[in-house]
Amino acid sequence: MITKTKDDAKSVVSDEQLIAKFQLGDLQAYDILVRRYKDQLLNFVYRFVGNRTDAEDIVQETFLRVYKNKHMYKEIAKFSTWVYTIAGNLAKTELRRRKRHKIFSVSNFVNEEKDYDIPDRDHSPEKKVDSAIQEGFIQKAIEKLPAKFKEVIILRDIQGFAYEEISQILNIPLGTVKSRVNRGRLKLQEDLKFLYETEPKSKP
Amino acid sequence: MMDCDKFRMNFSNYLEGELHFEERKKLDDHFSVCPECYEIYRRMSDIQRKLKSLPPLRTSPDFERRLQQNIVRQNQPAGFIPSQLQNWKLPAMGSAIVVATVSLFLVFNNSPAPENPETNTPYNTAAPQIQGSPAKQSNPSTSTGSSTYESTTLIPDSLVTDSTRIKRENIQQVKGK
Repeated sequence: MITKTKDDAKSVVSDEQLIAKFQLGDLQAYDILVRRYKDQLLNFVYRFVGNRTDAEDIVQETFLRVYKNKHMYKEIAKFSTWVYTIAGNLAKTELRRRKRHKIFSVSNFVNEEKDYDIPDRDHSPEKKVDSAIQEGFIQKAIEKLPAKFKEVIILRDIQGFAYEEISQILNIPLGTVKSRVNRGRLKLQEDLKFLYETEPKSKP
Repeated sequence: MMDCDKFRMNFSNYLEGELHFEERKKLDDHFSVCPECYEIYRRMSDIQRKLKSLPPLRTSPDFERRLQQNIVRQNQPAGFIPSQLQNWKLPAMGSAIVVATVSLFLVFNNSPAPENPETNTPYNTAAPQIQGSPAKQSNPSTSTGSSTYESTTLIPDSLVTDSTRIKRENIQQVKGK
């Protein structure tokens, strides 16, 4: 079913043409769609749930649903909108499930105010925090955001979607998207303010 | 502070160059007198840049293989029986059919003649077929042969008369034609 094709990289055929072919039974078209979207969906879901294994399982489930419900797709929307809507809903369901069962791991999931330590000013000035650690803090700050801010920040600032498409994916008005993006960014900068604290003058 | 909150609502629009000249100028003027807002904007802008440059993740190498397996698994019918179990099912069914056929043969061959001939289903169903079958009527030799076979093997003596009578009529009708 998952077969190697030569024209994957060329992307000459649009997503909408591919899903139309798949709806007619062309499994190769499905394979190409999987290859086009698997990594970007993984990045989207990972930033959402903060756990790679869970994220990959959710992306698997997303493609399974595309396979099973291919006839649910209508050409009025872009394929990317449809597939991101499915993945986003599954990610939110996973977060709700975790919340219900309280299976947060101290090491992986940060959802409370003090789940990560704010570094001491004296020892972690902006320039001394290396990029990997900084990425870790940023990821944790994203996870800590309320879901309604988190989803728009990931789609806009990490995935680079246009506001209009975010509005379609989340099925919320354009103005709400813009407002949430702004509030999400303000919240992020507040939570990551410690990264920008200046080095103390009394440094030896 | 009220002004600050109002200006902060426009930070993203400012950052993405979506403000008209007038609004942009107002915000620039505010930044020049409010270092706190400017600092917030500077951090927001820097974090947005960092978000864009977060290292991308890649799915594991066996992602597509696992997906294929999941699709196959989900497409199995609800009453699916694993192949290991299916191996014995077919021979068992065949054996059961053979045993049932042999049993039926023995039962009909050895049972005493029934009191009421109408209860003998094989015979009763056979009779109309013979009577109403133009093909058999047009072929006396076949009809006669069949009659002989039934009367000497499966049909009890009490029924042979009826069976013979029907077939004799058939033969006469054919002869008449």
